[in-house]
Amino acid sequence: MKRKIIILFFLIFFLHGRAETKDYQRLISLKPNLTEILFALGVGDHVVGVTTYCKHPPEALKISKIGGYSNPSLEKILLLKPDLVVMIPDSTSPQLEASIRKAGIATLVLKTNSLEDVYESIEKLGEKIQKGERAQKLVREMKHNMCVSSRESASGGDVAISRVNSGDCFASLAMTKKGILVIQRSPLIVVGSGTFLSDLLKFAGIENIAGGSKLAYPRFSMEQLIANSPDVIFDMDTAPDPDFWEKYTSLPAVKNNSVYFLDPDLFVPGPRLPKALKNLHEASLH
Amino acid sequence: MTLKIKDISYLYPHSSQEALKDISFEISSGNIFGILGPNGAGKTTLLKILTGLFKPSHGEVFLEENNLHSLSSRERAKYMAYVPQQEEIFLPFSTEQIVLMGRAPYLGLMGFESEQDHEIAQQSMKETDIWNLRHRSLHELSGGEKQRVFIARALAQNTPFLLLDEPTAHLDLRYQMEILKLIVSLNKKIIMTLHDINLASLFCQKIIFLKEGHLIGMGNPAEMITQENIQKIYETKVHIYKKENASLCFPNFS
Amino acid sequence: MKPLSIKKWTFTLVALKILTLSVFLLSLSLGGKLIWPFGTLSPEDHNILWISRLPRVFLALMTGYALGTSGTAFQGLLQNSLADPYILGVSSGAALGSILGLAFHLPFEMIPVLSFASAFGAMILVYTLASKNKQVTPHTLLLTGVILNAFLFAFILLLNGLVSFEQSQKIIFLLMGNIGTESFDKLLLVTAFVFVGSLFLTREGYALNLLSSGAESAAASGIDVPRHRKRIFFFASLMIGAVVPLAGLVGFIGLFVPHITRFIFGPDHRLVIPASGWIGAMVLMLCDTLARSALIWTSYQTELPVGAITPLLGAPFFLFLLKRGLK
Repeated sequence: MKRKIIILFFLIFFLHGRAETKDYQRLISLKPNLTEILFALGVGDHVVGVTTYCKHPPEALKISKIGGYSNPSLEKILLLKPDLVVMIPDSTSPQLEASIRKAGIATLVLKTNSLEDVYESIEKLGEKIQKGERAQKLVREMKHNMCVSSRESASGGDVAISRVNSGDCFASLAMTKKGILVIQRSPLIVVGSGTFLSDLLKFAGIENIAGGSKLAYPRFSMEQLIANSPDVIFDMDTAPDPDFWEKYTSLPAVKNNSVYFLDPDLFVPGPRLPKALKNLHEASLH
Repeated sequence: MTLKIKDISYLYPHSSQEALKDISFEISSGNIFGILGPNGAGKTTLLKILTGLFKPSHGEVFLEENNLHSLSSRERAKYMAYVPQQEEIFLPFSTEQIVLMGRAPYLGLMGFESEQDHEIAQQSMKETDIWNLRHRSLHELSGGEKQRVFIARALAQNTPFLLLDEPTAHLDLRYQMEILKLIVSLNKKIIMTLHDINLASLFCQKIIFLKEGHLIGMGNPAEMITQENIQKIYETKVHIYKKENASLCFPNFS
Repeated sequence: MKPLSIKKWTFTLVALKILTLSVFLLSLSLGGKLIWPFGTLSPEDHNILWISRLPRVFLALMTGYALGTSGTAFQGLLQNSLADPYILGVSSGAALGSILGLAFHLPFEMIPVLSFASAFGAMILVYTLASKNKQVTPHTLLLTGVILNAFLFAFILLLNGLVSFEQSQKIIFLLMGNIGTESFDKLLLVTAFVFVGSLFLTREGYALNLLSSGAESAAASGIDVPRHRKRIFFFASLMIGAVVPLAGLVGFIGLFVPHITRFIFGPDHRLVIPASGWIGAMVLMLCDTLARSALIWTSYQTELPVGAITPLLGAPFFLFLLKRGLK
């Protein structure tokens, strides 16, 4: 009798779904970075729905589309009969999530603003779909590669393995240059603080001149930019425009030919972040 | 100055009915000319043709030997001044500013008025007894005062002819008499449309009757205002009461 | 109020021009850092002043002038004191041109050109549709303008769903109004259009007075009403169509500057048309200075959209004037 009660207790505990994990078979991702993470966790062939912006990895292109970046179609989602839908918290998600849950489908909301958020979300997602170990491995690899990259650029190839594994290698990295990461030129929108992009800048040893802003993507003043004399400018606007920066002749970045045009496609808060960081390094080392 | 109206017809665009048909008459002697008739008879249309706002579909209007409609609108405005029935003034112009607008046909590019223009405007305002209202905004004035402002504007235009469309419409009886007395005191050839037969009888020297676009008759009020004519034109029985030189009518209730 | 004399007209406009120049210099000096334009400047200050601030303040001047003048012209033409310069199709026309340019990935330089063509085209369309017997009345013009605006705007909303996320962001900035740094050749072109438009509209001041005091009496006083209406519409559209592709739809100025100008100077368009231009220029320059400087030293370090500042400051001031007897 006692044993039956204990078993019943455990069953209720698990069935209550507090930390419901399952071997989900039909996954839908509502954002490109989440799609990448799902594939990196090895469940790519269980993904049945993605957005039109999900281009990585190439296999994602063949999967059914449930909508664009910010307007997924609830109907399409339901038609695909998923058992789990993953999304990030944005303005449309609460309503959407509620509707999906009403249909009896499990949802998972993952924050991917900062680098820490990305690591945490990968692990959470891994747990949810019963790929916890794989997720932890992925995060370790990412941290390792990020640190290796930083070390290489900072001290010219000197790598301390013990430091790297703890993942806080950038704490000891000196900020060698002043820089800024531009999302859009006109109006000028840059990376502020609290996002994975500002974290990447730190890893690259760049002191973000817009880092003092509370906002993630402040509408920055060109004057402030000029007054702070950045040594390097990363420009992620959709099409490169060298002429735009060349006229600001007082900028060290312009004088030293250190204005770099990056492909925004690479800078996605997901498993390709180490590659993105490498790209930042390679760009700034010529 | 003689105004000859010859075989005027007018057809409104998108309309199949002619508003005026073969109207011919002459305004030579006498100063106060009234155009009467029921609603829709074409009184205002005829007046607008005389001001040049409408061009007749057929026929001509001659001012002495000149075809009125072959003149430029600016030239024409130096002969014919017009006071329309009711106008919306969108902005708070002062009385003086409105009267000065009557000088438009004489002004240059930017419309800056000369000393002489100001004098003429002043004269017009004094003649219509609104000089003391010159700084007031039009919105603040009474119906009678407003009408005097528009008349003053037309006066400032300094034309031989002054055309008025229902100058007494929307006015109280007291103001009706006041305005008409003012109009006939001006030294101008007046052509006005009137609704009220009795007022026309008291103030006009010659009148014409229009009905459904046709000219029914022309003559002095005593000749024109008869039981027969009123029956024909307004389809109403009336009593005629002759007082001094006027023929007044009022409905026959029997 | 006494009628306008040439002396008063000249004197007032000269005073306004001097005032505008002062505001221009003030706006140049203010920003994240106070820089006096005529001293010796470090290379950074030089860049800030001449490459970042000057084109921007100049655009604000041109745009404010165009908005003030055409706002007054449209209110007079449409006999409606709630009309703003965007009401007759510019807003949707310009935005549609920009969104089409972005959707078809046209080169940067071409997008404002397409936007201007589209804005201007929309206005010509409005005029043509509203014409009956080659004439327009304020009523039909207004209705047609509002209808076309709504119609074109529907296209914009549809296209917005089809373009990329970044592009739709760009559209939003256009719709909000955004005074940024533009190249000198674009500014020169805009200046030419605004100048020509302003010259012709000022000339139409007298006609606007008469049109606002009864179109019938105006015609009877020898004014060619259809011709003047056409001219006013054309040149006001030219000015507005030129600034919107660069500055976007900066709201409120075209609506309330005419009222303020009339409140101060009376209703005579001969003075109000050019005066509202100068006042509009000053207001927008000041609002833009505020937009780019207000939050710079706070922990947000961000600029504000100027299209938010103009109504934010303008509306309370406008209400205050209403209480004081603005008509």
